[in-house]
Amino acid sequence: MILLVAAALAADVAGYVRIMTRPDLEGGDGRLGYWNLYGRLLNEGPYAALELRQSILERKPGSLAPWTDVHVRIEGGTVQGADAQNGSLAFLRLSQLYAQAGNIGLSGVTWRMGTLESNFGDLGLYDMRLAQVLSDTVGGQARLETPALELTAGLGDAGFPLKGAEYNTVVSGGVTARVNILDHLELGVGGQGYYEPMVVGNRYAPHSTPGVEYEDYVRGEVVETFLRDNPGEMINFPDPVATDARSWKAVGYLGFGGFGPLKWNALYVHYTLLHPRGHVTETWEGESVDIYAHDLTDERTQFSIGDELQLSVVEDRWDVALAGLYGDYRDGDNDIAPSDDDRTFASVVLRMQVYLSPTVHLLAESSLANETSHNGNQWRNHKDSIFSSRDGASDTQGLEYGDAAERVTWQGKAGIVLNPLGPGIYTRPSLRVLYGVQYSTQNNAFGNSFVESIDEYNDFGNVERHWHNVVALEAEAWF
Amino acid sequence: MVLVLPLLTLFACIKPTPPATAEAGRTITVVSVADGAGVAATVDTPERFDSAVLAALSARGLSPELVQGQDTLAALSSARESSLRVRRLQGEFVDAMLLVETRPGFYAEMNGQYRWVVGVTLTLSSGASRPNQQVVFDVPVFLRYHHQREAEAVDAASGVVARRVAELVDDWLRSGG
Repeated sequence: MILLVAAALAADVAGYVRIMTRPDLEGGDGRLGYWNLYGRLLNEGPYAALELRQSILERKPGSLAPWTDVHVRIEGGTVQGADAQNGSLAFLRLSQLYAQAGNIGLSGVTWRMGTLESNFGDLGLYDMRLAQVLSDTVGGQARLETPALELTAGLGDAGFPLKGAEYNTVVSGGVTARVNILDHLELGVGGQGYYEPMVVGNRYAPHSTPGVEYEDYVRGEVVETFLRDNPGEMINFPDPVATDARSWKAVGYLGFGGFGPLKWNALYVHYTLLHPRGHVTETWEGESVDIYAHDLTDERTQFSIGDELQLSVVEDRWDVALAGLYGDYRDGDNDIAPSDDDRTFASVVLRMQVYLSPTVHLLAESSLANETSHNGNQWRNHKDSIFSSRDGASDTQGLEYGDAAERVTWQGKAGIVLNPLGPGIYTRPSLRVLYGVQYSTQNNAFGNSFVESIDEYNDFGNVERHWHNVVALEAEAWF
Repeated sequence: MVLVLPLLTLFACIKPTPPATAEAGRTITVVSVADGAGVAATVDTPERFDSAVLAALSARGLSPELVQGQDTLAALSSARESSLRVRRLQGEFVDAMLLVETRPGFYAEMNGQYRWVVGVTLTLSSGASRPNQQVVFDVPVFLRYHHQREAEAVDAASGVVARRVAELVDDWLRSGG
């Protein structure tokens, strides 16, 4: 901490903070719904990010002389008194550290070493960056910037972000290109590839355990099934077979605007083949057995497309932001169990901000979302809904959950906003007093500590609730 | 609405402090420029930025005259130090002059926003025989999109810069102009 304060005193400091209190009289944890698919407003918790920049050789106006600086970012989603972690530093992370230099060797090229990132922008109403590459890579990157063209290429290692303590090198390389046409049209394409080499003898390198059925894997019964088929032959349990692992991502962007009331429309798309998983551990009669899952998790794809437009309906009086998001996640290995890797979701969010004065605004937002599970039921719609099920019928051996394969959610939010820096949906700081209401087909569709058991010995009882209300006092600032 | 109505009533009751005012018809020359990192030429600041600065001066009873044009920009491109620039301009404008210099520079992308820092130097000159008044400060601004560059960053800083111009001019007028 002392080093951090010393660095902050010497460096150019930037940051982002949001903090809120949302006392929830209906037993929730202070968030209106489960996630940002319903709009980020009232569905996000506190957050703080601090970025330090130390310019070692400053960029000079009008000069093409070399320059260099170092960036450090610390961030995390907890603040004392605003969430369950109570501001613990254990939940903050050093998320970015890089040095960059410009005008060395090639004029107009910025060289960067450390944590990498390249993205085409942000779906602000969802706080999502669909068209993003290299954010999980530490390595080197070069960026060429001209008024009409931006080219970025990076190469490095994504082993720690993808595998954590079970590190194995994952070579990662990515490229993005963005073309700007007369400040009214932008096109961008990019991609990233990952390659994890086969390393015989390394238990964290990619392997597959032969002969494993997906159902046994998802139930955690691989060893049990093997011993049922081969009694007393644990010694002959199949050894993992080394392999390599590959995954990739493609991203695209189309932006246009500056015509009449349309400030800008940004369309982002991505298609990803997720990196195969490592292993799970099963325990049988006190013995741990690792089941290697490369071949069981190498067909997971994610397609997402999102669009957001900003309109200035009445200049400095009334702004509108409208966004839509569609996602189709597929798991080719899994045809039996509902999962977040196998679902479709779609949502639309509309936000309007009316400026009563330059600094006092009224805000209203509404969202409608649909989520559908591809492999049967995933949600409980009623307080007495079943837990494990098969085709909607109670079955303790069933892999489905609850009585609904579809969740529909509507949210409405409104309130007053104080913006000291004037009009703008994304102008900050914002001090907000908001009321939010949600309707969901799922019972109690928000973070809570309810006892869900329908056992007759449940002392707390069950609650049927599809409407949820919160009042929020919150502040958000970039600086 | 229970909360909103009392808050709106409260805001309506707040009366701003009146600014200092100049003698009627007093003119002040305004030169406002932007120097982008890595860009050789000095350029005029955006129109909305200029309007905010001129409005702050007009609110104090001054008659601002904005000087633009290639000759002025060329003179300022060849001298980037504020003191040198003021000396060159003082030769042309003998009465009060405000030089607004902005230096927009990209900082980093943060949480989906593009953070820029606009370095600003305001120099108020009442003629060669009197000392100049000067303030130097940075304005962090956040832009939504990548295609928004130096001009938009300067534009986004206009509210803060106009307020600092107002404070500088208030001090100047209260000390006898």
